Amino acid sequence: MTSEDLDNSTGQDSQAPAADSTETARRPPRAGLFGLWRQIKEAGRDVAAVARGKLSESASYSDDLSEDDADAREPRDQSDWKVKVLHSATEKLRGAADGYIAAKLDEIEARVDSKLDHVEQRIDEKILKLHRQLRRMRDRELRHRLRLLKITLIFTVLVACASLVYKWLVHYIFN
Amino acid sequence: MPEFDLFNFFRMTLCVFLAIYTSLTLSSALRRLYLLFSGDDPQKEMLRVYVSYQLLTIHASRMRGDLLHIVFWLAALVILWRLHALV
Repeated sequence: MTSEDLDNSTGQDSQAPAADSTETARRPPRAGLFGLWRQIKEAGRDVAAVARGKLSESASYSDDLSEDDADAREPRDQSDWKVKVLHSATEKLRGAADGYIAAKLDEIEARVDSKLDHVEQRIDEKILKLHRQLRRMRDRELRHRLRLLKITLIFTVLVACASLVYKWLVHYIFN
Repeated sequence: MPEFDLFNFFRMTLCVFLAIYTSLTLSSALRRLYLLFSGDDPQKEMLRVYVSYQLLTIHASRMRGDLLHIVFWLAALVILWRLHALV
């Protein structure tokens, strides 16, 4: 509330950053704007410590140091409460993130499915088109072969006619 | 001694040449087809099935005119062959 509080909090931050968590934990809770500011700073520090995995270690370390000390039990309880609150907040955040990721994955899956259906439909249309084109080509090729066979037969018949006429001439005229 | 006939010689030469040419062409085409369709891999099997399907779905009615022409010329050839025997 006063400038002394501010000086205490800022001076402590600059002088002994390592002993912050134990010092601030022993301090009585203050109300007002500076108390709120201190609470926010502590919470931020605790979040960073939890992120580094050091809060539990420091808690166990302080537990070892002052196991018999009755005064140290209160900060330990407060630290456990903070860890629980942070854990629950982390779990909620994780659940929300998981839900968001699941919804996004479902959306992506639906998009991929629709795109695959579209691709499959286009492949089917292409196959049908190719099939019709192949049937047309087959009919055209068959007609071409039959025409060639017909021309061959016509020339064969012409040669047979010439042979027959020659044979008739040789048999009935020249003999 | 049988007398030499130039037309018969031409006819016989033409027949022999065409028979050899047809045999070679036909055997080459059959060999190519065998090489194309033989094999146990799935692609070859699918190709065989597809070609069989194409052969089974040929509509002869679309080539009715050409087929009638061929039948007519074949009949004419058979008649001429018979006339060769009669003359």
